[in-house]
Amino acid sequence: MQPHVIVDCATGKVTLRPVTAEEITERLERVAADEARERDEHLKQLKESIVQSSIELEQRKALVEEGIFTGKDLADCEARLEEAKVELAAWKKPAAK
Amino acid sequence: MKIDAAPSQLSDALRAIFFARDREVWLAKNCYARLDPSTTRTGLALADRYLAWVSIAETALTAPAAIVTFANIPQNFRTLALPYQARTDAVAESDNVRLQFNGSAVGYDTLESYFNSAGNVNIPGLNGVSMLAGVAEAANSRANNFSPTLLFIEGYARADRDKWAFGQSGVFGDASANADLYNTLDRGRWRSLAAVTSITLYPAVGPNFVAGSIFQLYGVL
Repeated sequence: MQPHVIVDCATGKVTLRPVTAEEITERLERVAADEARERDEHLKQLKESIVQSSIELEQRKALVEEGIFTGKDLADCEARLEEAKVELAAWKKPAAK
Repeated sequence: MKIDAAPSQLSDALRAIFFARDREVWLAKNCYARLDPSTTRTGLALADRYLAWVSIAETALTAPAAIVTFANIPQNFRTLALPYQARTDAVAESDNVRLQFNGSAVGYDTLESYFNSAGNVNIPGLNGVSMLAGVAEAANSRANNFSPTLLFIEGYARADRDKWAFGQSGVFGDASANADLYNTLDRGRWRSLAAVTSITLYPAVGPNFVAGSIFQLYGVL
């Protein structure tokens, strides 16, 4: 097992502390759980964003028909929805490298 | 201008009292000063009008290491700069580098932003065990490559605020496709008022940094 390198900034001395297999396993599990949680949370937010944008789009379509909103308001909302969909499709790519 | 002398021999114009012995000090406007290794002076550094990075410590791995820690970090700088070039033995084209302050495994908020030819992805993480501190090339990356990262930790010695870090990094993997080339921006926060006295870095997957990885710690005035 590879060591933990500790650089003492006060003295410049470098010491090597043995790292146990259990320590590495525990560390990797914690990081993996953390990163999985981050990605799950992000995915959840993206999906919620798409649902919200879809609802907002339908509401705006009705308001455009009533003449309260303009076509530009609709286009902005459609752009946000499309952006969220593109991000949802792409978000896994870095993790898949 | 180049000065190679003990602090007592530095010109008044510099008005510099150096923090560490046997350290190199870079000043703005291409000024450079190196301290005499025999000196034992300690103290503050430099006139206010100079922006300086003071080398605190560095390690260049000659063998693999699972974890790298800078301990007993001096408390008399405004900001820490932590440039490093890292590669891990993870069986992949990239790995993440995680960071902890003071050995603490609680209270880290992180926003990871990845940019490549496919677009950008932003991944938030709340109240985790560590913060993202950049990316590193890994075992399947092009040989002889170590990802460069520059990390800043602002107000690290203050006891009146949470601790923030900001880093920029990049990884190119085996460069077999445009999408292999990534830039990343990482912003992390540790929910703690404690002054940062140690910084620990480790691969997210690894499990090791490989030999040739270099980690440097600077105090920024």
